[in-house]
Amino acid sequence: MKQLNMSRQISVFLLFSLLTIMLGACGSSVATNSTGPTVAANPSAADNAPTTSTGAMSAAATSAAATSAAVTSAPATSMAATSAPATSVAAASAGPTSKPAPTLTPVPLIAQPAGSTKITFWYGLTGANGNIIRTLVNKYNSSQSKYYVEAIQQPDYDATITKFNTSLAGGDLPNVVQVYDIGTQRMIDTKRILPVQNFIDQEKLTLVNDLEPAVARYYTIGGKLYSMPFNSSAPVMYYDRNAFKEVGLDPEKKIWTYDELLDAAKKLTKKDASGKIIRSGIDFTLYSWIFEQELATQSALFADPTNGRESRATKVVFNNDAGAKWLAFLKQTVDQGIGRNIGRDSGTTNGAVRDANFVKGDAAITFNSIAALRGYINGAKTSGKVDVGVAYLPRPAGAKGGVIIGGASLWITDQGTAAQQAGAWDFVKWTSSAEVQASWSSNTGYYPIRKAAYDVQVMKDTLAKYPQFGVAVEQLRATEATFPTQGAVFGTFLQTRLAIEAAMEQFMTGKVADAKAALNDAASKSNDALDEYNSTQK
Amino acid sequence: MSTSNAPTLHELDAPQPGVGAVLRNGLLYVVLGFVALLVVLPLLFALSLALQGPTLSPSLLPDFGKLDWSSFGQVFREEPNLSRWIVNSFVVSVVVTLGQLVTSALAAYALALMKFRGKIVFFFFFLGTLMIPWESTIIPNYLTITRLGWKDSYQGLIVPFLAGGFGIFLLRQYFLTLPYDLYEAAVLDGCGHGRFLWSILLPLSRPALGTLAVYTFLNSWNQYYWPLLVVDSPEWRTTQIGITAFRSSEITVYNLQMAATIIVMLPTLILLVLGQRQLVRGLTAGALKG
Repeated sequence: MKQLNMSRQISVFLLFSLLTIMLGACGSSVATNSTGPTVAANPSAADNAPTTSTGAMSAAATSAAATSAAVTSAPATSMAATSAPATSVAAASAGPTSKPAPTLTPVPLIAQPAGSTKITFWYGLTGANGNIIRTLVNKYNSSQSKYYVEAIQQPDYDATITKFNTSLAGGDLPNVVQVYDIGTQRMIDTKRILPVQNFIDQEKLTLVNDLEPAVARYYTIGGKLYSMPFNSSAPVMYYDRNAFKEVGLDPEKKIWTYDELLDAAKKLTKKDASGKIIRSGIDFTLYSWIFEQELATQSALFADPTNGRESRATKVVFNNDAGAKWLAFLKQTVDQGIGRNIGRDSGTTNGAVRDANFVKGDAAITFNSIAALRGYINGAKTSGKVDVGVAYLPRPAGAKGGVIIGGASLWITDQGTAAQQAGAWDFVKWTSSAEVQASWSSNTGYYPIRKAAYDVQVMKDTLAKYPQFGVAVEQLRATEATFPTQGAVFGTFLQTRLAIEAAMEQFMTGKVADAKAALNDAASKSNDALDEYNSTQK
Repeated sequence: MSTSNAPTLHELDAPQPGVGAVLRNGLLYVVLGFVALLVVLPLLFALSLALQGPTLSPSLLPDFGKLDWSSFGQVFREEPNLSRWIVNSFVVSVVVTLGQLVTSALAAYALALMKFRGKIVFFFFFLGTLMIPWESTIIPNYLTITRLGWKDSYQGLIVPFLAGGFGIFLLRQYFLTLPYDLYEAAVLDGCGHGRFLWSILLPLSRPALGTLAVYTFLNSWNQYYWPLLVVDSPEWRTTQIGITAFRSSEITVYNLQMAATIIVMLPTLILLVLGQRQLVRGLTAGALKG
């Protein structure tokens, strides 16, 4: 009897332990996929487009590797590896039949030469774009011997700003850090930032006049350019030109109103005998970034006062008619059976589903960043059905606004010696040069931040190869400079994005019947968070 | 309890073998099979994605005619540090696990079997640490490690996790389930604390130790935030930080990401399989002796 009790007890214990393990394992794997509660989302619109390094960059990579072999005893393998991109790129650009070049070889950083001042630089781009950053850094390091930039890759933008904030306590900050658009207010509030405007004024540079105006506007707060834009993007409407021609729609039309787009989507939708959608007119994710953009197209403010541009934003006001109109438009497409809601975007893989549907030709229209263009074109080549077109983001009839840029910028901190700070500026200034921006843009799909970059041959070639990119530039330049199109800055943007996407979901799934009511809820949650944040900033 | 052979767990729960037992057995296997499938499904899907080449529009199953295994080699070529990251994760997880076992066993022994002043206070003190969210300890820990100059080192990754309230609590509770008579008998025979712990208590506690070991190992292996903070240079990364290098978020091509994930997951899976056998063996041994 005692033995029985004992084994009972033990088996209960074992069960409990297994449960604990399973829970533990689940919890940890969640923590691995996302990265904790505050950083679960992938809020920045302008992220990586898997691109192949081409032309100039490959040459740079090869020369950088050569330098590294000379300076240090760089392993022979890395030499061999670095020479590979040239061949893979040649294959990729061979023609429409070739697949996107999958190979991406590591770009090792060259070693620090003796006597140089070390500048640490954190960046949050991974994959192919991370390689291109390292190539750039190598190019900078071998172009001069005074400073040495040590580039340290972080897993993503969220991790970068999280790590930055934690490091504030230890005082061990990088000299230069790449931070996403919506981290702007938080970076200013760290009070450890040296605004690039100071350096520009000291050197009496006219650089600001040559910055892409919409891009410069975004990073200007209270009349001061705080950080140097580096990789900038903007949202566009992607559509399948083949499908448009097939149903008799104008494949060259660039500006669509909501009503026109509803009509178009109706024509584009194909259903089988059972009524199941084979090709939907519009596939979309519930994406706060696009929601913010639609407010800008309708010249509506996102936060008060003046989107936080002249003084600190004290409350969000996105629960306005403009926001409700966009939600109503999306709902209409679903209700009429001509559009599909793929689900929330931030922190999910739904974006990948939307992309796959579009490049396979299962959806004729979708909305995404221009940085995705090359990925789409390469994907469309594989499926062979879709001819990728780019148009302005749609808007209600009569709307006069425009779009807000996204992406990331480089911040200089007050860390280290004066020499290091000067070096940080030297590097940042170098990244903003027309040549670097032209080559960066040509290799990634982001906008050049300099107008002069369009005169560089690589950029001209890129525009000739990807005429769709020109439409995005045009949309950006057609945007009038107002507070709504400048974009909002406030400290709790990440939470607000999650709240907006939750509200969109509530409305789309019918849990909340009224778009305004759903947005009101999100706004009040956002305002709670913002009040709390602002109260710590006095 | 009529069976003469060593009874299995299941037989203990079902004292009357017959049609009912067979049915229950069958049902059990159906349920287990279903759960097993659920558990394995994400892995199989990951494998399927890894084998589909660099496509933007993967399907559920790969095209079995042209499986693309190159992604597994490619991840090592793209990130030559990948094997180093796996070694890092292994060293960190193994040392943390051993450390937790030693510290937890010693503390739990004192709390369960020894008599001293303020024992309950100590116990609640340890238990209290479980209530503190890890977010609030991370900055003090970070400052300590930075001041010690332990960034980019094994010490920095390992030392903060060598002891924990959970392990102490788990082992103390387990030690309490063992009969106190054992201790008294051992002491009568002249056995000291160290000898009793090492030769009698720990062998009897294999299921609990196994549980703690597997739990600690997995937790340590899956750590993300801490290694992110204390590691700057690429060669000191652990796998969880490292595999993010294969991700790109605007357009997602999954094959490399999934290949890297599978490579990184394999060690933990192997450990789980081995650890589970250990767990079950420890359990049956304990059951018979008790």
